[in-house]
Amino acid sequence: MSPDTPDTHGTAHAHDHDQAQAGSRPARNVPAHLLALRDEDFTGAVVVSSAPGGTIHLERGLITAIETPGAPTAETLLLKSGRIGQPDWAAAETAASSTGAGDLGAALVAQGSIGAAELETVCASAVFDGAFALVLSPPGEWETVAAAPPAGLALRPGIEPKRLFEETARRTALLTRAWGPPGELARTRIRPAAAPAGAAGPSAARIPARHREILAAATGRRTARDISFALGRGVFAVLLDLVRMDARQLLHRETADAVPMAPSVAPRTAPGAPLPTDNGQPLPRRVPGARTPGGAAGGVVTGGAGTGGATAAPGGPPPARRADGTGPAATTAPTDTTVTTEKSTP
Amino acid sequence: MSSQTPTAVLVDELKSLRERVMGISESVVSTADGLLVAADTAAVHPESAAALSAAMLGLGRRTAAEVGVGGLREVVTRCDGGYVVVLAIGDRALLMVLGDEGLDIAGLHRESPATVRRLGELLGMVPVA
Repeated sequence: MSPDTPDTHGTAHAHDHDQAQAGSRPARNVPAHLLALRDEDFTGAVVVSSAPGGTIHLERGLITAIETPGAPTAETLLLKSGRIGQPDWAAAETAASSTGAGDLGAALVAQGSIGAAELETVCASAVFDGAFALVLSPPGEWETVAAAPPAGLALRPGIEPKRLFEETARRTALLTRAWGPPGELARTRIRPAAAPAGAAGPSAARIPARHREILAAATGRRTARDISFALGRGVFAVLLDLVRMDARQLLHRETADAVPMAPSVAPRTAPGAPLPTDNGQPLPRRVPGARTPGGAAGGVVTGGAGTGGATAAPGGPPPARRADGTGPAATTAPTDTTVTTEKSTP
Repeated sequence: MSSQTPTAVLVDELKSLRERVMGISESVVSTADGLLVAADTAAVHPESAAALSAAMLGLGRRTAAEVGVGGLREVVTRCDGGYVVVLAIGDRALLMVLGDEGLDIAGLHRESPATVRRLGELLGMVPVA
């Protein structure tokens, strides 16, 4: 990680909690800051406000949980994968809040939904995955919150910051070696390659179930992060699978959806509409000597303006005819926009 | 590039929001009375989502007025597997955003005002201050 970049959004959601280290900010970046907090046996949270950022929960300097939009938490891993059912989860939440301790993990183990060792493994993998997701996006500002509420499911004891950095670096290096910049792959929207799905049965049979589930979840609108939330798996695990599946040419990578924000300069004709001159009459012809006194070298006899309006001023404002909001065009909205995006040429 | 019909411009705006905020899966623009205007959807039925979003916003507004907690900012429904957020576009249209449980709520709060303003302009409405 590099030192924090200027982040214009950093102050938008400032917390009211007391700053742990008001004034001085000796740490250069989040890892250095976490190491300093480890030395202090700090308990609380570090809120990173990059895009998407996240919250790193600490207990006595050890990292117990990471909540970020970039990676599923232990709760998502357990619920979305179907490991724990929603009713059991709700029962554990009730038990945890009524006993006063508020330890959701202990309540899950106590009611027999999951073993303590398995829960610990899932929580640890969620922490590693969250740290990996945090380094996929450019670093931003951070603030230290001493009075932060603890994470719903926390790893106790937590992970040493140094070990977390080493593992994150290992994962990043592994993906970089196997594919390329992980951030790029993480932003790519995935869908199954067209060829093998339709025709070949035998080749499809050799695809492991884990990969088949990813193929089923890859709609072309989803990134690896979206697939990992949908399936309840770690982002790093999904990225690794995507690299392997890409090597077997099972995937089609949608190009980055470059959304045109500028008005189109294309002529405003419907795709199937006839050309402006296609009105049954011959093309306009120059007549020698028939030039108008005032005009420039014109003398063009237009062939009628029947299908006009084709060459409106480029860059003109889009027609804002939906002011009443109840036009009949409302029913023509596409239901699946991914089909209309440009086909990529990787 | 396809020709830029008004609906396509709206859908591009919705896609742009989906690109900018992590966790958004689908979104729908509809009129205040629940008629579909534009949709960037994959799994949900756009017409149904449009109708329900209008009902959600109306209920939210009415409830906010009844219990006296000030003007409505947005209606957020948190579910087991994600979020449903409904935002007003002026007083004649609305935007429904669907996201998974990892939806970047802070990012949505950061990006949605600009999107709502642009959608309002595209719909030919005077931007509300």
